[in-house]
Amino acid sequence: MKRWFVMLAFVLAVQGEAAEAPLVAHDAWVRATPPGVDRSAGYLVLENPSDAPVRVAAAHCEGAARTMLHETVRLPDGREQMRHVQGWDVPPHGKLVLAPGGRHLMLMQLARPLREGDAITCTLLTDRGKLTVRFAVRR
Amino acid sequence: MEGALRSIRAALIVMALVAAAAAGAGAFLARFAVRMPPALAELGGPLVLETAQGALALADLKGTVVLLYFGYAHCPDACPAALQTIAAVLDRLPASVRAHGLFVSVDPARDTPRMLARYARFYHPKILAGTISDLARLKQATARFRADFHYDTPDGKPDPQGDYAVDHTSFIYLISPQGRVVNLFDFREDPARIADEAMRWWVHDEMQGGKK
Ligand SMILES: [Cu+2]
Repeated sequence: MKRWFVMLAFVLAVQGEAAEAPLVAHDAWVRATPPGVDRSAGYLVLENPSDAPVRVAAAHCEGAARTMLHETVRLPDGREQMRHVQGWDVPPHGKLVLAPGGRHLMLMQLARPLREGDAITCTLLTDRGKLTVRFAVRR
Repeated sequence: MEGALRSIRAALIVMALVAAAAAGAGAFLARFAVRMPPALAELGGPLVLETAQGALALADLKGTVVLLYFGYAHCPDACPAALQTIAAVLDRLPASVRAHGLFVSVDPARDTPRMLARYARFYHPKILAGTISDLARLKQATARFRADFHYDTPDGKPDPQGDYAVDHTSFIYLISPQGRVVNLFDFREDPARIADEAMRWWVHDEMQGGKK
């Protein structure tokens, strides 16, 4: 599983070296970290003005040892569960929304706390190139 | 007994209606109307937490509106969203309304009372936080609120050094000044709606003499 992920990231990185993913990112923000917590979640809206779907397959955020694609889903018994997902498709002429309580980038083992007012850079790897996005740190 | 209470309550409502009519305040009327979902009647019970300031019982907060939430500090998505919602509700309530947030950690292996105090204060000075370190007692207490949690570890057990998520129910419980669970909100709920409901219960319980 993990090897598959690393391989995919590598293939995408090589393949997407020159290519810039045909996506427009906006409203990108990450949650400021409370004291004693070394993880956070990132949110944004991705728009795809192109005629073909774009698949977001991985992400890497500055300062995080690992960044994962996660979804918080409600189980039938009422618990909320965070699930690791393989990727998200941004439909042609459509958008993908990452928002609290749903899809998010999960930033693990942050080297430094994220403080309100700062910003970090994340790189999204897609099947059609990569996309570098600035994420504002908010509460 | 219950019938008597109901008629006292009805009398109070009538008195309030008269007062409202006299004041000609339609807004007051709307504020006063409260309705507790019947399914919540059995919800809640004693809850005694270990906090950085010592033991804190939910009953100690009688006379204030409480927004209760069960979560864990290493939760990056749902819990901060819920705490931000609670903070926004507290900010919306007029200063005359006594209110608190109460964060109960279901992950005592990693969340110590001291750490929780700093964690909660980060979101709002009126959010209190604590936990119950004995897992059996924690389960008992959370079960009274039908709050459920599960550690995503290989053996399902918590680990002080572990790096794991905790699946958990993620509702915001509105507790009236008289100490009853009177409503339940999804953590994604609009803070304005929760604040409005909190106001209604504050006014309602105050008229019934629930305020100390
Ligand atoms: Cu996550």
